[in-house]
Amino acid sequence: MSVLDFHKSPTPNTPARPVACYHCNARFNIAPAARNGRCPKCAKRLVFDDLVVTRPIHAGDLATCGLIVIEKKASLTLREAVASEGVEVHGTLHAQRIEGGQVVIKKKAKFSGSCRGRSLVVEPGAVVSGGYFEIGTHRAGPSQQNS
Amino acid sequence: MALTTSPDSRELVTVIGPDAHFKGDMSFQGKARVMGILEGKITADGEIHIENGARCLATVDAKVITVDGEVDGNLTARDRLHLSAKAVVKGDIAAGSLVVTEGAVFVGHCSVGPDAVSSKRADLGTTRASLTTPAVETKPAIQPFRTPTPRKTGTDWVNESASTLNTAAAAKTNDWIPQHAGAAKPAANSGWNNGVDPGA
Repeated sequence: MSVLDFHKSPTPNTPARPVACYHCNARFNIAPAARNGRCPKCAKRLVFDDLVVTRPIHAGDLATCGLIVIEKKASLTLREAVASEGVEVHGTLHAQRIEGGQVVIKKKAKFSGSCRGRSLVVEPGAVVSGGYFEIGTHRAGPSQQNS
Repeated sequence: MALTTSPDSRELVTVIGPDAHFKGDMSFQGKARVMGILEGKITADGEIHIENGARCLATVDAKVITVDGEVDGNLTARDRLHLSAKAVVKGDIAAGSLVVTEGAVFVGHCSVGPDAVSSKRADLGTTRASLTTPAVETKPAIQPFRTPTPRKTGTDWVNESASTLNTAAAAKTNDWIPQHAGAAKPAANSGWNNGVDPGA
């Protein structure tokens, strides 16, 4: 086997990952290992990572094409969170507004704020306090984001 | 058939048929199924199932609520609220636990948890109380007689202000505060210049 053959060796055929832009809601595929990039439609920068919160955090805004996961005993306090794939709350989430694909509020989780998403799951035992909800009224992934 | 109760079934279920249009307040003890159009208010101790194709322009209060149809109004479920894939809910929700299947549409405020229903009812209670009580507080036409405070004499305010100053500055060096009209002046060498006249 020559050196050139080594370079020609095929890469493992991993499936592309479908994502939705959180600015323009365009859907496109990315490489599975991609962590950030630009939207091919609106050319804005995007984060593809899943954001996992493991401890109490105060933040301004968070946005990702992946998931936002707030683990048990963790809390996230912020103004706005946008996660195209969804938001999963095991701990505590205080946000003025969250936008996501599927919003899952697990048992023993606490959530306060407004929420917009494709679907909502509130498990028995979870506490949701009084925000404004829009569930299922828009297409997958958030849209009408301010540019 | 507008409002029927199926007697042959083991458990009595009140049914509002698909061709029925009902306006008013309804109250159930057991189960109820809404398949037609309902306007008003529903209160139930048991379970209410709003079927696919039904339309509720109503406030619903029950132990368990299952929505397959369309609801335009507030939902209060003491135990569990289930929105299935074809449900469309526009209104506020308060429930002990909530299940929203993917495909359901919900627009409104949401409170879920063991205390959510009780707090919602407390809010409603305060609202009702405020509705029953007059918004403007009425005052009696004749005000009770108020004893006038004695007016201060010409020199009272001097002594009062001096004593106030004395108390406030007690912790600090207060040798510069005149205690009264005939108070002695501070020592000349206690200042920053040790008594030396800068102009001399």
